[in-house]
Amino acid sequence: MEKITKYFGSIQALKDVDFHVHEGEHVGLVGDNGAGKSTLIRILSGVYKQDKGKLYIDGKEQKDFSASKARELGILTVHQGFGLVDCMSAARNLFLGEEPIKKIGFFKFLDLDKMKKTTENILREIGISSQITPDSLVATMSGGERQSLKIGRAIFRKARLIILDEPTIGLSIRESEKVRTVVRELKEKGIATIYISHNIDEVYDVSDRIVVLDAGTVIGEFKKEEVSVEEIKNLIRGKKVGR
Amino acid sequence: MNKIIRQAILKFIELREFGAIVGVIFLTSFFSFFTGGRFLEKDIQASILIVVGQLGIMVVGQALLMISNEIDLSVGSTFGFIGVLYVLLVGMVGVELAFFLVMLMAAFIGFLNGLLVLKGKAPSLIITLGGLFIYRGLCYYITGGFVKTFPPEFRESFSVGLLGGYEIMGFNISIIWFILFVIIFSLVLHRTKFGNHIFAVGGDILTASSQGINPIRVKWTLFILCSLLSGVAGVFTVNEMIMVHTTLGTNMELESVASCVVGGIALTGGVGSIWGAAIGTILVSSIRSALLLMGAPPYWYVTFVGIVLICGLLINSLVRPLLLRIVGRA
Repeated sequence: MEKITKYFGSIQALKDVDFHVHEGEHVGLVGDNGAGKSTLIRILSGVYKQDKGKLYIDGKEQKDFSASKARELGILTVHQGFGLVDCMSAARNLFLGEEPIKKIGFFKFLDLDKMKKTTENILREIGISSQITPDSLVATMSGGERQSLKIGRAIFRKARLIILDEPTIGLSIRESEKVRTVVRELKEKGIATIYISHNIDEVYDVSDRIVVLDAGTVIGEFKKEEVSVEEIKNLIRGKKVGR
Repeated sequence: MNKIIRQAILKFIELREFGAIVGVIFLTSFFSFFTGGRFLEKDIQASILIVVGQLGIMVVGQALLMISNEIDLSVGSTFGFIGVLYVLLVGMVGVELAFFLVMLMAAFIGFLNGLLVLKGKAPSLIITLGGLFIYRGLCYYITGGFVKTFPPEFRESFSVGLLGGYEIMGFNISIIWFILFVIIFSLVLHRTKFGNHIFAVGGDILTASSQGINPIRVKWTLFILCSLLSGVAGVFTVNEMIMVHTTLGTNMELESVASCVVGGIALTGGVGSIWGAAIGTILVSSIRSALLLMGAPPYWYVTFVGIVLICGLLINSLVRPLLLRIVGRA
């Protein structure tokens, strides 16, 4: 993303922001409320269109970028608040919007066997307990299991970049750790992530590089080994990082 | 308790349709006992099944719409209006063309409901309540407040028979159509992509949209389908009765909603089944015939439907969890 600027009415949410993610890289995006994190990732996921600036994917400029185009190119978002339908099973949620079809004569039916088998594999791959089956309702799953299922869905949909927007908010310490384990494992699969959270320790734990936003501009960008958690917190508080 | 039997009982109690099934068993036993077994005789069951067929076809559409978290309170008036219009048109253009034209009109009513609710961003409860009055008013306008009879020259035609007029082994053909609709739309709901999208849109519209589903398209299709099925039920009823009156379909909107709710469909959307709503229909329809058989005045019918509705809900919300705890511990 190059020189990205976004206005909402007279308010400038982003000002000439440069932001990039390399293949398989885990980037932490931090900043106080109103820093512009959500606006930036919404532009990257095709929900908002920037007023100025250019967006490149694989070096190619994206002119007519949209949410469906982002999905097509492998950019998927895992939101905290929504993303799964509670009253539907894990299998039906995993395939929602991309259901496999089996033709019987002229009629097209859901390929339920395929849905269940694939979901079973994914559930085990992301380490969800065997008590949760493809037929289990999402309503019966814990917060951590739900977040892991959303990440599992992104993996299944061949994501190249997963944007994790506050993925552990409201979760217990143990559940947060489970989700972070799933995120770390994405590295081995070569999937890049952008991890957004107010919990700096958590962001530091899973990121290779950390970008700090403040009032719509990038005020710091560090490789993990160049900076400490305390220095990032200080930067957000308004103090300079000493090197 | 044997583990397999306990698991089977638990599975049965866990069903959303549990209240309706218990209700049907209880009321059938109750009515059979108080009518000295007369309730189970073929002629009584045949008269109940006429109502089941006609109300049930409407309920199928209402059930799908309610699962998508919308409601159509104009179905009773649409049922009456389409029936009245059909009788008027049969005399002018014949049965087949009249049926085709009234189906177009029914689809248009559904289209209009969808347009106002989905594009006008208004609650379906209010928009379709408006429709309830408008189409009832049109019924009065067309009939002038009088009973209209079906043109005699068409009464014996094959099309009229097929569309609700025939009896097969003593049972009205509408029950066969109803069973057919239940099977078809159950398959659509549970075994197709569109059905999956109905549950998703009803359960969490934001999530459904985020997964590339178009909620407006899903709901609009269901508004049209719901009005179409109400129209079909109206035509079937007219073909069976061979006459229409201005009050045709009055209260059926509430009976259809009651059938769905008793059958386990959540008013909040995302949950339910067509077969549950079908059992709810049997329950609601049985009451009228049973009360008449027991010599109760007809006005007790609505009171009894209300009681059954509340009992059905209480069984699902209070009795079912209690039984699950008891059986779970056993």
